[in-house]
Amino acid sequence: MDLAFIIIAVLTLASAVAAMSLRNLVHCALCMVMTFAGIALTFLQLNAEFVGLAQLLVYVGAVAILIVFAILLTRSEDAKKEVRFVSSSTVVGFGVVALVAVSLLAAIQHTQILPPQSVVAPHVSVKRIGEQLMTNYVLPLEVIGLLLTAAMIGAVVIAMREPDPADSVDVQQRNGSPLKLDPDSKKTAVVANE
Amino acid sequence: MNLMILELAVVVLGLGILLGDLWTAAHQKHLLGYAAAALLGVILLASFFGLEQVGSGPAYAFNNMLVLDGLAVFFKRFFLIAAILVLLMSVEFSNRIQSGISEFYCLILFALTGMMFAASANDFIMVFVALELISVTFYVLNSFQRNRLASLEAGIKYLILSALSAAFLVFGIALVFGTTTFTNFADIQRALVANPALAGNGLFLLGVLMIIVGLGFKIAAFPFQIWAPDVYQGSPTPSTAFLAVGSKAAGIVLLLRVLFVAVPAVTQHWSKLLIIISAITILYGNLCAIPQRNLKRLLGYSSISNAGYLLLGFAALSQAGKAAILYYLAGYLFTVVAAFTVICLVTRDRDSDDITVLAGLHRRSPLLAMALTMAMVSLAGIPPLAGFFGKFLLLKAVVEQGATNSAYYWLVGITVFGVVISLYYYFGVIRAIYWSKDVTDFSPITVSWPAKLSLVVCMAAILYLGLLPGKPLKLSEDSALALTTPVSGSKQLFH
Repeated sequence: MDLAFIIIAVLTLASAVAAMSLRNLVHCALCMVMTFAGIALTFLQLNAEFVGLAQLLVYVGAVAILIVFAILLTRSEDAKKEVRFVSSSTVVGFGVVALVAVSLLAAIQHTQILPPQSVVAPHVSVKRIGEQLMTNYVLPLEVIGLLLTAAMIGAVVIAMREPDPADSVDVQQRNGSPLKLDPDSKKTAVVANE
Repeated sequence: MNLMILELAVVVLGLGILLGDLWTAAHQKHLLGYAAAALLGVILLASFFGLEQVGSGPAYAFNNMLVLDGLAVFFKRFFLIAAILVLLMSVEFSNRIQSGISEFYCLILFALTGMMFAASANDFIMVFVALELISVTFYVLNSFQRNRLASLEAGIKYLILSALSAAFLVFGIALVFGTTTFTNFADIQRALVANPALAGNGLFLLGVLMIIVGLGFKIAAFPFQIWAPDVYQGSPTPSTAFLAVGSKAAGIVLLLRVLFVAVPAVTQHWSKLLIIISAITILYGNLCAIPQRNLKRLLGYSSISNAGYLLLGFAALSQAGKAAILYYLAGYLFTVVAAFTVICLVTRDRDSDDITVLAGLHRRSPLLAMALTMAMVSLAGIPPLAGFFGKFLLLKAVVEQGATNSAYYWLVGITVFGVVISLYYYFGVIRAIYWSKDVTDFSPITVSWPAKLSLVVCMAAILYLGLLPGKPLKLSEDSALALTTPVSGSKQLFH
């Protein structure tokens, strides 16, 4: 085990623990970014360039920004202050971890992994992956395109504002086009805002 | 290209509905559902003319990722019929969806596409992609009534648990790929034949088990059934119906292909596991359904017990069992859709799905009362309806295997016990229709003609499958043949 791996592993694990245990949500998010970056580095160290760069671009780049934005926009500072470190769920959690680890280790130990078919591990480059995606795996790629379309439509539908009358008054006021509202409707608008 | 012409047509239809929305006046948007249902009907008819070449044998495409055989065609038609009936139901439901009804139709069509791809999947990558397409659309369909907290809760619960099951599925696929270096079903089968030691390889078996977990979630089999009652209760009724019929059938067809095409050598050793899962699922679903007062929740538990009945066919490990699964699913489709259509119509003006809304239904609308009664009687498995004959076939397949392992007789006993319990709660629904004492509301329920048509079709199908089982049974036996022939020489049609 070389030194670089140990450093990266320790940093990744430490930031993962910090991401779960820190109080401030923004700090948690930043620690998670570090975890993502650590995983990306591990991939790069294993010569898995494509996965490493994809991890960097997607998780460190996009997902992390998304999380930070979500935290800032929802402004949930009033999260529960009292967090006991040792609770029943901690014990259960560690129990589950131990169980999974033991069963996985047992399974791995009692397994002879078949020798890979080709003796020389093929060098997987981004170009090869692209070629495969566009030839052998073109159908799954297309279906994923459909999946993303469905997800986008869904996101729009769920995030769309309900069209109700109080909202339209609200929008007019915000657009700075002061329509001559008669007193009654202004009153309803104020009530709706409250 | 011919192999996925149906899927392409459905996708184009879905996008067409989205575009059509732009040129439709707001108060007419719900009518797009009729258009979508009618065009799906055209696609269904076309499938009887365009796919005839399939009779000559399975055809493969996309590097063997996609297969078109009798089983795939059977399930594609099954999903098309389900989607048509669900779309007609959604039109009745449109007054309860405040905005975005055309997106609702569009997402139903996208989910349908995922199910049809699942029917043809012959590769684990395709399995995963098709299942994710189904799941992602259902996240949205389940939480579509944003103004109702229950609907949002259903969406979130489905999201989290479905993501968890997808993680199991991917992990399983990775382990199978790691030990065999293949993701294609036919390749894995060949690897198992070439190297029998693989069937005893712990890592490989763990992978297969995790894949079964991922698929077991979709069909709501024990112990992956926890989500079903809550999600069924909270979701909009058409989503629930599609979840109960389409999503479950997609899980079943994938389970059939994985267990009997990809890893038949493993499945033969796992009959005990299948027997146990089946027995517990039947008992859990039926026992938990007894105290339910909410109609949709009741049907949620009933759907769990039905997953158990379907697993009987898997446990039998015989050709008769596979044919019985297909037959039972066909009956289940019409029964469940009829039940949910009635629930959708009866609760149109109320916010509750409680069993008391059915009081006096036979005076308010004899058609609805009759449809719901027939659905319940069929679900309970009473002759001469579809549910009876389906259960009969499943049990027959299990009894035939009894000579090899006495556990099969126990399984029959547990199933009969479960059916007897189910009589109680299914007849509770019928009692609520006809013999409720405190009936306050006698206003007749108006039913539009498309909804009437869909109910009549369902009732006719339930009767047909129960009374004249000859032809449909032949069809399901022929379709199940796809699961026997060893996949060796494959016909490459499309690269």
